[in-house]
Amino acid sequence: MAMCLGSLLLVFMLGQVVTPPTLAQDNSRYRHFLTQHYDAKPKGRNDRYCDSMMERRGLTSPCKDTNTFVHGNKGSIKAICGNKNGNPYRENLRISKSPLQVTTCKHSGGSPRPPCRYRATAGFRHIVIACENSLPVHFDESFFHP
Amino acid sequence: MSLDIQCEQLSDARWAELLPLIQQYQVVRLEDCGLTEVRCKDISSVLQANPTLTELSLRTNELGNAGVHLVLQGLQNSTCKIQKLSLQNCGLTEAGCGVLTGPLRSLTTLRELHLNDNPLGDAGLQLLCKAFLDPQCHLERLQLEYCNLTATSCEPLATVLRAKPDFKELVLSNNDLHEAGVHTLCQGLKDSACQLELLKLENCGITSANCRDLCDVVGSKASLQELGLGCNKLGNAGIATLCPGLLHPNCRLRTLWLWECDITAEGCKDLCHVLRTKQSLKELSLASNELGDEGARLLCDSLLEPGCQLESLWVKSCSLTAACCSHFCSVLTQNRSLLELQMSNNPLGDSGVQELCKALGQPGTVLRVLWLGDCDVSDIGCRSLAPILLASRSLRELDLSNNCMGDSGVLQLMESIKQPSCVLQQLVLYDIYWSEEVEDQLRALEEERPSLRIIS
Repeated sequence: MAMCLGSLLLVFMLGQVVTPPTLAQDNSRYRHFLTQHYDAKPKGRNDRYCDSMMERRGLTSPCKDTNTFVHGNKGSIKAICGNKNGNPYRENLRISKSPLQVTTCKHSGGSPRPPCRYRATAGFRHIVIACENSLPVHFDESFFHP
Repeated sequence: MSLDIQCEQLSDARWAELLPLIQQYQVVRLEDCGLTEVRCKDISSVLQANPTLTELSLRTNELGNAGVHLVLQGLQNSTCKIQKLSLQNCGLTEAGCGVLTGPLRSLTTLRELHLNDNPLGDAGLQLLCKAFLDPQCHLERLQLEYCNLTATSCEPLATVLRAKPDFKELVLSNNDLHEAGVHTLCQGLKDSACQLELLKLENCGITSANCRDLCDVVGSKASLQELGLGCNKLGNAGIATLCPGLLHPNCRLRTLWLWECDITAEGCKDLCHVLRTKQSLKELSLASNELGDEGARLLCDSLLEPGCQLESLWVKSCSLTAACCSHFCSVLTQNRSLLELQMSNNPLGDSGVQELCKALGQPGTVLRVLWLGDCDVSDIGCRSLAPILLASRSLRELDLSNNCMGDSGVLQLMESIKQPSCVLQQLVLYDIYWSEEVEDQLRALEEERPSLRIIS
């Protein structure tokens, strides 16, 4: 009897460990989104901030042309995927209801070869993203041009 | 042996592991690793005990004046023959420069020094120049970007140039030197016997009036291979003044940076003489200049001349439209030198891309790298590009970032690049939105073809 319960418990636990494939993949795209576009507490939102952040987040090989970092609480970004902080925008995107603190880094230089130098534009504005399974997976850089 | 760590916070345990390596290796680069003055004591000790070190970089660590001093003292007391040192963005200020002259003077093997992104100011640089002028100092390459320098720094620098015939490289970009400062600097260069190879003065406030001096420098320094004048309001007039120097038989320039210089098609006319005849010129950037289709046409005509041996052309953000694409087609079909073409951020549209594809698919084309980011390419454009990716034997890298294609376009591209016969090595797709299904397929493709880098 105890053995049977033990086996059942083991099966139950194994069941908990197996993650449905779609959820695992969603999380990795969301994590990628955070790596590219989220910096909770930026230290100085100037050109040098952009130079080091773009390098730290792996966006300098080659130099990514434009990239926005969103600051503050990442819950506010997630909330754009729902009605709490988002509205539909164009065909398949979402626009934030409230503005957010952001820093947009724009590449400045003669070629896309590293070392990459950037010009920062700090702002407080609405952002446009795409969501999959209620998680942000894409940032629309074309919505705002510094 | 080299130790190369970037953008990694180093725990105390990890630091303890690394110290013996720093003590042994020839090349040590610990960049953006959260190092502070505290760790500099350790660095100083192990440097003293390292006899083989030739290159050290501590770029982007808040060492502060005290930390930098400790590092230099370590190098001063070392038996190593340090050649290249980077203290870029290390928090070195004017106040810290005084105590550095002693150690710097003693590093007789030092050839290359990077001090970019440190607020040295004119006073700080003046102090450092004392070391640079020392007979024991054989520095050849000096980088001082974003050092809060003004015209005042140009006289001490000119003095160094006059005194040091071995000087090969000077980078002063992003300092407010302005017309007077640049004039003083050019005087120093003209007087100097140095065989300068690289000069970068981007975003220094150079004016068209300075181009007279720059023309003289370029026409006299046969050693000059790379000249950076980007982000200065030279204008067409400045270019017209500069070109005779570029055309001079002494000039063997290889790389020319003229991005964001207020040049239009008019200025292109003068540059085209250089393009047609200067076989040494291999790389040219005219990004962020309002060249328009007319300017592009002039450039393309020059690229068709046998005397033009250009390998890389960067014309991002030049207000080019579909209308100029037929001219680029002629270049792509006939030119056998051009390996890289950057046309990003120009409203070429699907029709422009379709036009380019006519040439890209031709068997004889040699183009290896093509940048079409932010060119208004939609699914329709992808339909033209997909067969090219299969047909081309030369194209290795393609950038389609920030375009408006969707799932359909991306899938079409993937159909081609998944074929083993496709020779593409890198596909850049930043800022494009695709669905989960396409994401899954992309991941699968990456695993099937590990030689292909898909960057998003």
